[in-house]
Amino acid sequence: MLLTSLKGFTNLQQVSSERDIVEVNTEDAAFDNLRKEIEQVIKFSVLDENVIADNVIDFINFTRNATQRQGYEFEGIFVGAKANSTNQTMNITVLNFLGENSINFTIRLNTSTVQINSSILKDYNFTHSNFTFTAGDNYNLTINLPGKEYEKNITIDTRGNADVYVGFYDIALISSRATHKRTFQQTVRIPR
Amino acid sequence: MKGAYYTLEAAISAFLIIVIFSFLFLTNPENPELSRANVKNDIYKGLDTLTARGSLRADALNNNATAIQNDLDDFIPSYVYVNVTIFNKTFQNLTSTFDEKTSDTIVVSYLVSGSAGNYTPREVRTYVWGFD
Repeated sequence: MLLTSLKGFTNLQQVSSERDIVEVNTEDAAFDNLRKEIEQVIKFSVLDENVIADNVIDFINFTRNATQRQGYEFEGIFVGAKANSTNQTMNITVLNFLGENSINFTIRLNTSTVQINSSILKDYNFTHSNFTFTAGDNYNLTINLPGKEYEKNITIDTRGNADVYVGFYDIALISSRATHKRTFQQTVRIPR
Repeated sequence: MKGAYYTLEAAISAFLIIVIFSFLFLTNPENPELSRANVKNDIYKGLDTLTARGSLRADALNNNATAIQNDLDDFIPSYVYVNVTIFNKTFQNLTSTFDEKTSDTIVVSYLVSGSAGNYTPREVRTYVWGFD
């Protein structure tokens, strides 16, 4: 009787921990799907450079809604930089979807004279900034959230005779079991 | 002679203890919740494979839920039932409406962002039931 009860208890714990492991693996698979598809958006949108940022923002919103329906939270920051080599202007988009009411952020581009823009962004709001650059040079774009010990560097390799779009993503899928996080960036050449 | 009996008795006792413990602790517990979680994993693996083949993206954009459902059969145990529906970015159902058959239905959501030159978000939702 005692052994049977012990067996029941042990089995329950074993099943519960095995189920949790499998569930966390499943969440990993779900997160992998989101990450890969988000990464595709710039590539799929590159034929119309004017809609790249809009499409990424739209897809992140879609992802956020889809994951919320399953009981997850999807949070993060997106920074997009379109470097136009003709007019040597870099259009930078920052999207806040950290799930907080608002954040202060600062972006810095390390040109010979550092260009800075600071602003406040409400949740799921975005802003655009224009910086100048020299086509063909490489830059570091830094995003910093004052008071949050958050600072990320984004490498931007511009081309002398081509436009590029750099996407930086710091994303997290949060469930009751685990937080799945990933930071990545991509550079896509914009065809002329 | 008495010593031999004691040895035999001890050996039989040890054997019985091993048999009982093996029965109690070495058998794998089966649980429907674990089974559901495993099937969810199988579906993700299946959908990832179909994405790598290129068929999932094409079928999702063509609203061809039946093709996805047929392809998924290779990855899911035969004892469960499967239904695939496709939603657009405002979560309007583009295929057949599915009524959840039982309370043990699991749902797997898989997102597709479009294809080359064609940003068209889709959610491929897979319902699986019949675990009892």
